[in-house]
Amino acid sequence: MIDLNYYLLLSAALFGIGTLVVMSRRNALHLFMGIELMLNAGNLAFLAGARIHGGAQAPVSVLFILALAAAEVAVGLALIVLIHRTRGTIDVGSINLLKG
Amino acid sequence: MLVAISFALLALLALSGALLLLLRRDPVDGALSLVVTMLALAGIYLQLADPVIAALQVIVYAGAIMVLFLFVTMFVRRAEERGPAAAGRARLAIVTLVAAGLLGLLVQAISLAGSGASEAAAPMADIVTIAHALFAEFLFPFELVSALLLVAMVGVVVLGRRGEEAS
Repeated sequence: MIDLNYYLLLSAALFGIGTLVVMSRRNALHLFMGIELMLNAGNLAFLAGARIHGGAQAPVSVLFILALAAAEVAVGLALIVLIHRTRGTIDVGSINLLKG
Repeated sequence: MLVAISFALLALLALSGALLLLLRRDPVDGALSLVVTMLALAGIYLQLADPVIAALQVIVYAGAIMVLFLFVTMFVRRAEERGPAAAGRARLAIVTLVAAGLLGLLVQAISLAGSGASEAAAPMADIVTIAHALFAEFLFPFELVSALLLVAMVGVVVLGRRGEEAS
């Protein structure tokens, strides 16, 4: 048996890298992939905790997160395709329609 | 011992996939390295005696979501990766600092909270238990999620049609 802390540390590291990707990249696709990485880190923490506490809450939560991630990615990628079609770029620094 | 070695290998694989996502410019490389991370995480879920979630991880994340990513990436790629550098040097330094701080905070919290956890390893929920919880205790959120998926689907169709008119 591996100590719970190693799972949580791996989860924290993945979450940190995901944050770094989201904050340092200007490509909208990279942004979304960073968010996916952070969601996965959360899932790992849920399941690692479930090994100690048992019960079905953690797998059910992970199922919900999976469905939410799928919905988020579908809408987000549709938006990216739309923005690319109308503005010709997916650089989040140059999309400033609401800037006034 | 064998479990520890396989966990170390899988964790290394997951971390290297994530780091590649961070370091490579090309979104296609990023998506493929993210697939590696997802598959390594599925392996870790198997190790946690959670085959249901591991299978779902492979099917939904490594399968459906990442294929969607690759599809859209190849749609919109072209000149994007030759554009301006990912971020200025000063901005990168600030961002790294913030992320390192976040990581430090998380590690601190883990080291504070982890001391009391017993290593008894409660029995993992099998698919019957998950199904009972999903359709009894969590029925309302389950239905909410299904409504959300429907709304997302309709939204994507609307967005797709609007793009057709614009081009």
